[in-house]
Amino acid sequence: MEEEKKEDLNNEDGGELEDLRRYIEDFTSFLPLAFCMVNPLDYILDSNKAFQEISGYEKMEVVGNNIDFLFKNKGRLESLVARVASKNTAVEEEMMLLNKGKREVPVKVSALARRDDEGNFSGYFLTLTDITESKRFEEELERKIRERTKQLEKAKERLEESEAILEVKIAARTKELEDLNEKLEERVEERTKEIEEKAEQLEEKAEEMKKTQTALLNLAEDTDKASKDAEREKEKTMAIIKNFVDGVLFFNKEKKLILANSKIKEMFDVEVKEIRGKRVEELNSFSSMEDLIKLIGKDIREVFREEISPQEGVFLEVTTIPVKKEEEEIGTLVNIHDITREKSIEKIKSEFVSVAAHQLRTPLAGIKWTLQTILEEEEDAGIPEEIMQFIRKAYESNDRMVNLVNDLLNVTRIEEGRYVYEPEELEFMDVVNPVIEAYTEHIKNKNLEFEVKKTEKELPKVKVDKEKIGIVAQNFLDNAMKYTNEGKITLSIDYDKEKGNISYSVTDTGVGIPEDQQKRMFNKFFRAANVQRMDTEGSGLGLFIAKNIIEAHGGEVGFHSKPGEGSTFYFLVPEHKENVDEFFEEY
Amino acid sequence: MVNEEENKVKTLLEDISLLESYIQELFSFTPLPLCFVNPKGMVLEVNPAFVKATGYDEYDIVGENLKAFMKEGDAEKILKEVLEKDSVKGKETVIKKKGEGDIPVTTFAKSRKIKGEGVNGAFFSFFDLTQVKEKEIEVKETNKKLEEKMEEMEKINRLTIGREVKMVELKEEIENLKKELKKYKKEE
Repeated sequence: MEEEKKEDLNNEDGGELEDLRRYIEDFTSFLPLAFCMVNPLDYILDSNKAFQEISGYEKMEVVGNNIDFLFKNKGRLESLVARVASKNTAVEEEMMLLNKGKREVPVKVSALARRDDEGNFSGYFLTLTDITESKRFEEELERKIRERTKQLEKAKERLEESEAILEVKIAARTKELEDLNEKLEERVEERTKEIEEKAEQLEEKAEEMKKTQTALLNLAEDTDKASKDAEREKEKTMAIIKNFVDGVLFFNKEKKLILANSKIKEMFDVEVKEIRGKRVEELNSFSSMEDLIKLIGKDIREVFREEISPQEGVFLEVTTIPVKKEEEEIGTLVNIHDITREKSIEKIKSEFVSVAAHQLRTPLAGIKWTLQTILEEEEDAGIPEEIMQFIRKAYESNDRMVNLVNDLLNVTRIEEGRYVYEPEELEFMDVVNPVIEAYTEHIKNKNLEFEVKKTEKELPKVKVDKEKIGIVAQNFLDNAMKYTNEGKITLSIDYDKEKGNISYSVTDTGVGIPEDQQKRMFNKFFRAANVQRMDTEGSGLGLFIAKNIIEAHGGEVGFHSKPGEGSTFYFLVPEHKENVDEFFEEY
Repeated sequence: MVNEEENKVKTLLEDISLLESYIQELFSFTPLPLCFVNPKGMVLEVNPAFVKATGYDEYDIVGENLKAFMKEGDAEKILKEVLEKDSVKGKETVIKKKGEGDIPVTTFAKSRKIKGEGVNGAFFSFFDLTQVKEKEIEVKETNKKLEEKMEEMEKINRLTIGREVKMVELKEEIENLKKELKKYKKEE
């Protein structure tokens, strides 16, 4: 057997030994782990390919060298070896390998002791695992963690700082807000109180409103009743207007005819529905209404009892009355009164007076002539004085009768439009001087002072009927003398160049005219009560005639008087102008 | 002459014994899980590191095909490659542990040829990547934690911005309240 083994060994060029060596070579070269075998004196006996790769040394460069040249920390290596030698298990330690390029390579060293058959320490295996990447990774990781931690800490610090600042700010703002809130709450409380008070007031008002509502409801009922009453009243009024004896037209503010009664149809021969709603000027298209429209004008002027004759033998008296409602003018009422009958009677009366006066004047003239003849021949006739006194009184009475008849005739002529004027261009003083001269003596005879005040201005000529103006001038002086018992009569003649008229005024210190009768002074046959008592001879026609004469000359007549103090009567005649002729033409 | 030969044989035997011992010790000592398989993949030898890593007994491993301990299909692939190319370096795979759990590994393999016989097997060594994987997980977790921290920082930042915004709102509110007060004063 021993022989066979020998044979085997020899036959195979070393045989099993060689196999084992190749096995070890294959194994160590395959082993991806760096490995070396070291003897008890720390000399390297073997190493593999992976060891060469990690250390950078060729196998021959390390075998036979002390292992300590490969490590940075010799002390730790010694300690490791000591531990390995004393143990039967593997010992591990991280160490720093110095490679051939003197670069430090972190390695994990694993060591296991080798022992001989008697258990003696015979060396050790070392394996080295490169942990560079792991270390680098760990270091990098740690570095990153440190950096991040640092960043986080800094951020945390900053955050804490900003938090602290914020806390302070928030605290301040919160305080501010709280203060504001407190103020607001106070304000809200006040407002709430105010609102509550107002609510109470409102409730009270609501209560009042309820009462008012009830009152209003009652009022509404009353109003309804009143409205019905008013409606009835309106119907009544309309019935009255409709059946009114006068014609009635009512124009609104826009001068549009909104109401006309049935009398209008009779007066103007027009259908009411045709004229209703038309403006004043539009009514001109109805020929029968032309005179009326001409009279009142398109603006409906103020007219008082003025006459028109829309048809032959028909006379209407027109009066316009502005209608107001609480100071606001709402329209104009035109009242048209048919005076045809009155006119007719007046005409008959006038004709009668005229005829009577004419008939009276002739015998009265005869009586006057007879009595005047007797009085002129009294001495020769041998008529006793007593008889002569009667004759004188008869003469005076006859004279007054003549004057009265003349006045009546003049009035009749005036009313009939037959009072003929013969105007001529004259000096005003030539017209009035004869009258002044005649009355100077009369007035003095009555022991009254008489003063004539004539303006120093040069008087313009006038175009007047000398006789008629003389009648007026005489009438004023005659009245003054008759109703003045003492004092003074002043006649003033003046010229108002601006207005273009000459004034003739007579002022007395007589009895004056009672105020309540002053308006009627120029009415026909009117005589004031106080003068009636003084003098029974007046006819009451003088001023009527005077007014008509002056107005026929385009002048103006008037007076002012105080009872017990005296009166002033005046008339104005215009200086000569062309339009004076027009006035006369009208008359 | 005989004695000389006997001595030579004795020395040879001692050398063989030493080499066997050396191989055995090295194989046993290597902290790297190692095994030697025949061309069919049957495990012929394992070192203690492999036993420790897999959790199996040595007797359970030896005689079993390597594929029983590796991720399905990987053992065959690597074995085929190593038999064809002589060596395989750094193939990542998984070693199955006894019971549950896997060990991520990088596999190195080298074929072994016997002179005159050709390939008679292959060495397999496995670098345990558990720590690396753990590190990766750790990195991931650390990154996650850092992300979380960053998120937290973002939140804090947002909160800070939010507070700033709140401050602006508060300022506006104060202004409004002031205006309201003025209004009330005017009404008074």
